[in-house]
Amino acid sequence: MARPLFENDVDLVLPHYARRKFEGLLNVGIIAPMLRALYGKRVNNPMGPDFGVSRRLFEKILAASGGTNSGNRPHPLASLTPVALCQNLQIIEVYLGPRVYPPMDWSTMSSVLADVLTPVFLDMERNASCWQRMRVSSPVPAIGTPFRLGEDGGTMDTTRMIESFQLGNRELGEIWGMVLPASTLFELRKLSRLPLDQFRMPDDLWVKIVYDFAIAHRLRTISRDHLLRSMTPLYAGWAASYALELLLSASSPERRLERLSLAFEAGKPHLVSRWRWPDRFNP
Amino acid sequence: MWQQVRQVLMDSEARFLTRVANLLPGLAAFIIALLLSVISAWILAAIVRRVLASFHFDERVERWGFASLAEWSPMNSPTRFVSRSVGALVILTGFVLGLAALDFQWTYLFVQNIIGYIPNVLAALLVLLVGTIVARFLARSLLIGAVNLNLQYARFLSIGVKWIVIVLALAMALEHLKIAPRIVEIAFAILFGGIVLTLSLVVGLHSKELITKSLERDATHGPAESIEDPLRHL
Repeated sequence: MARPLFENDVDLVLPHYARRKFEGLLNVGIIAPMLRALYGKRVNNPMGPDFGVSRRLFEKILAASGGTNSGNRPHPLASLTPVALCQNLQIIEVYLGPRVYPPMDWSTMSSVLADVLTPVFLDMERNASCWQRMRVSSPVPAIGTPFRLGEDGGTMDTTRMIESFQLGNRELGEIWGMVLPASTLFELRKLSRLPLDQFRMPDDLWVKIVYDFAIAHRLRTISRDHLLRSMTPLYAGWAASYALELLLSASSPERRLERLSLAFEAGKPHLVSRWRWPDRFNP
Repeated sequence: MWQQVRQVLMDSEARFLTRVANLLPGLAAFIIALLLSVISAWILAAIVRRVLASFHFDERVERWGFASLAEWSPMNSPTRFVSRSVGALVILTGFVLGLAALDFQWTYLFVQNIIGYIPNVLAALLVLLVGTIVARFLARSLLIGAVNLNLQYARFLSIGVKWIVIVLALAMALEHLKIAPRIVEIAFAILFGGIVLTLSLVVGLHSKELITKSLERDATHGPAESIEDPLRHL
């Protein structure tokens, strides 16, 4: 990770992990495609956690955090990629092997979601003038050899995730109603009544949900912590839909995620118009 | 004799006229105080209405979860409710001050009691307001947390916690107002204990199956091997 900083004179080196189809879902479901749509670069792991940072980028991060209050300071890890992209610094990806993930614990999922999305949404506010100018995305140069993992088998129990989504639909409708428009709520109610084998969350619906939550985070429609934690059942629904689609069809994860990224890019005008005219944001 | 009767009547008429003459300045002061308070109330209510309208108070109240306040308010507008309340308060203050100007002992005592009671009313209103805000915040936090833990009785827990806090705030407010303190104390204890017992039963009965299965599993098997879930999020 350090060699490109010296040999290629780049400012930010990001990892490109070899990933199994059900790993890093928060990254591939929200962070990577949203940052790709916002900042116009196809980065696979914008939040690392392995990074190579140049002195130039480090100084820019320090300068960005110096003039702001403690609540609005850039996050040391989450803000690296947006700052580098907005300052037109050189970014490169390095192919790495598989990443070691900690064991999954559903009981802390809402905390993970809140901790991860808070700096991402705060960066959106800070860099609004930058990402609103970006129109199309382009790939980022990568070095190294792509690491091939073995056959990705195994089954998935999506029942708990779908139950969480259905329970959220029943009990959190009042809170979601402060963030999402009536059409989205209607789609979610329809989705919660589908049988397991037909449970599919369309990409454009998921994209609208993520963008509307980002806008609500900016407008402080409700307490930010409550907002992000209430998103957990929606994320569970998307994860279940994604897992079922991969299990029941022959679609490859890369192609599936590329479709999702394109949906995020296609939904950007919706985000920009609601961001610029929040008075019209009236679910 | 008729001379004496006439003298007594003239004396009582003089005393009556003297009393009326003594009363007139106080009455005039009372009327002037009332008129001034009505004019001040009208001006203050208009200022409050403009200030609240500039802050989009009606939309904010609904967003904070006080939609019922809009339903109770005149013309479904919390702004009008607050501005009219401020106006009514100013008129009431003018009325009380006017009463003090009447210069009777019983009016002095009456005004003294009212002024002495006002801090209790303000404290009670503050306790109710804070209690309602805390109740709504805790209810929402609990609802979201319980849903994320897949608890089917999440809404019931949330409503229970909300009413515990509201009942507590109401009892504290009534104690500040010194309204039937013993009865309120006993009723609060019964109600509070009842709500807590109901919540405990709900949690306990719903967890009964879970605990039974967990005990059966521990009794028949050793510690289970951890099953690695291929789903990873970050």
